[in-house]
Amino acid sequence: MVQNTLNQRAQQAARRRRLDNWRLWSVLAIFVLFGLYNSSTLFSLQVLQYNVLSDKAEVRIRWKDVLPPARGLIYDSRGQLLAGNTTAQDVYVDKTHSDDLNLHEICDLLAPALRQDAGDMFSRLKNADGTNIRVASFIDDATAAKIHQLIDNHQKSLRYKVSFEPTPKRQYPGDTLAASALGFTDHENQGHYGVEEFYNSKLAGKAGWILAEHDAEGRPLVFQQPQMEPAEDGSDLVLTIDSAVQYMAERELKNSLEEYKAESGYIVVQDPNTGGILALANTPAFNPNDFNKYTDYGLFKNPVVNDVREPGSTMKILTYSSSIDGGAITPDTSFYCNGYMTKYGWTIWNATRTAYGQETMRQGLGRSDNIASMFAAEKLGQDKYYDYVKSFGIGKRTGIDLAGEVAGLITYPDDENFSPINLYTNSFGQGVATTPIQLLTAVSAVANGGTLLKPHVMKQITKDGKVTDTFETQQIRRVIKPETASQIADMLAYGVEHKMVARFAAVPGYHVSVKTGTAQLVEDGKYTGNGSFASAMGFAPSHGARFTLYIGILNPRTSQWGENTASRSWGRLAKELLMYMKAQPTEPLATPTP
Amino acid sequence: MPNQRKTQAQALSVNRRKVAPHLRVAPRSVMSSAEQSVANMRPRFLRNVDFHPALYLFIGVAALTIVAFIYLAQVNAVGNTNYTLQEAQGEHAQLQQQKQNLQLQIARTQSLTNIEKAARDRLHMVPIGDKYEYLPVAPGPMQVMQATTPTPLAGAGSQELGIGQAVPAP
Repeated sequence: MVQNTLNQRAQQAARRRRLDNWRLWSVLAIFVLFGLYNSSTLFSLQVLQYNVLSDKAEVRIRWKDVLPPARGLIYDSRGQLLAGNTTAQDVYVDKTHSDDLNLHEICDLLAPALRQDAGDMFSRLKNADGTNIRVASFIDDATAAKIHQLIDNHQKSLRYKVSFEPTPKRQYPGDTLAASALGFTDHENQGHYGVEEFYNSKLAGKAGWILAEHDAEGRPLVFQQPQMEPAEDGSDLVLTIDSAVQYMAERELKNSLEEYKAESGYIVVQDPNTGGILALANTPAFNPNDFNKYTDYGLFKNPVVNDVREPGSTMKILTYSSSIDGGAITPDTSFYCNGYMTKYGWTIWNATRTAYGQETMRQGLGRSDNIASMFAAEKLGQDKYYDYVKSFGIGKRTGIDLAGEVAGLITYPDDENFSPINLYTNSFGQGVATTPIQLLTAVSAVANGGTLLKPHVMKQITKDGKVTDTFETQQIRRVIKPETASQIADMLAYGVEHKMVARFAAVPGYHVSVKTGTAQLVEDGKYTGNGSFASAMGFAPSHGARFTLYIGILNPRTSQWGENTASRSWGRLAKELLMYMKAQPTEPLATPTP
Repeated sequence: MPNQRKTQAQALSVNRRKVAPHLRVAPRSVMSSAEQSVANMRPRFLRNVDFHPALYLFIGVAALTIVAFIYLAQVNAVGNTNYTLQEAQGEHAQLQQQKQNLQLQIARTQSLTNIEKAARDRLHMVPIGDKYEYLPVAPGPMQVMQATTPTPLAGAGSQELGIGQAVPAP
């Protein structure tokens, strides 16, 4: 009995153990199967699909960011900032998880603030590849504030959908001041026109990059050593331009164009002792801050280096310099002017058809007598004359550091289409076209005692406050003797002081050497007969000149002549410049009246 | 006797396991000679400690955990430092931007256009025109110094001329 009971209990215990074992084995099997499934999945993901998945992951979290360099600043010779940098905003819309309805809603809200058409914006968003689409670039602070306000007011529609990306933007605090000398920089950090283009490689710097994994907000992570090349900021530029002189020149030009009811004009001021450009003013001018709003790209051109024009009588400075230096004439050489000269079947008249009679070369230059200058050139001879003209740099680029300089137009005796009559017409500035900078550089050679210098706008290049490059005055060649230069300075001053054509350019207390010019306008190789180009070229003081000043006015309506227009402007501006430069008067001044 | 000693050792072993299965402190007198020779090889402060194999496992896991924590802490610290650095860089960039904007503002304020506008509108100044006068002045110390290095323009005699300066009594 007892034995039976014991046996039964043993059997029950054995059954229980078997049952327990079965449960255990089942659980174990489930775990094993689950483990196997996990392992196989992991194996598939991490080994078999490793390349595909890691590439996909890398694309999402690892990318290359461009590190933009800071563009170099531009200063004038007094340290005044002419071009600086600021930050504008680009606006992006993230179209992830947005259906057409959402996109329409976003566009309807954003487009008016960005002054865009909502339909256009929707099409652009819809058709664009990628998820984060730029909808506006370089928006100003006011627009950015408006969009921030919109995001705050429509959080459900716009929050996390609209984002801003800061982007560097060039700023010109003087607006139109020296615009044609500076040029402008586009949104891709590329300089156009002026020094911005010429020195783009120095100013732009070098963009860097960083290749790194990013977090959910797009910030680079540094758990691994990031591959990167730091950005290299651009060098700063110090110009020879003096913003005070520039301002005076621009103000005078604006007033002159209003006074003479003229179409356009320019003023260039150069230091004849270094070749440095002190001011370069053009009107009409453009505002480089708004370069993308202009449709007339001709405004960006700098006529001082990009355009050629017949110089008119201002060319006589070079003609007399050549003839006196070549020993053909002296200031006192006398000749008889009957108002015209006939050569090679052509009769060439004085501008006013006046017969001056017996006169000296000094008087001929003062009266701007065409016949006298033809006489001077003829006395020197064709070959010698053109040697001098070439030596003055006419017909050749000066090499000024401004973008797009042209060479000018002149035919030399060894050119195929040269005609002997050219000697006579060229002597008083017809049949030859120069850039204003060419003529100014040539006259500066007379002003400084006879040496042709390379004109330049850059004074220094600095990097991190250290000077890396300095423009040293470059002497191209000696063109005329110092004595000749001195005689020409006196002859020009004689014309001013003896109430001849350049009389309005006189500055009380100073000897100034000025020559006026009036040229006919040329269109398609022919004189138009309408309008004129009035100019005045000269330097002051006559001896030990501090500046050479060239004023050109296109189509003055009050008078076509340079003597009545540009000459007056020359006198007014020269007076201001002499005062600004603290040049001491050399002549007695009128006693102050009580 | 040997049997008795063996029985005692077995009893002790059973007791040790019951009392502390992982760490046993046994009096030197009851250690076997093998145990004593091993104990002699340990540092003095561990001589009375008997290591159970599970203890090695525990220490290993603990060490691994500590290393893992240190690693995680370091990664976390690097991550945080990265964000701090980026914030600092952002602030630096912002300050640079502010500096640039201020430079531009200074340039705008100092521009002659702005100065002339202020002079005309706020100070009601008028252009000098031809109303200025040059007045002869006696040479001052600076001018005397300059006179020692003559310039080509110093041909107007010993008297320098200035604008708006006092006229010496004749």
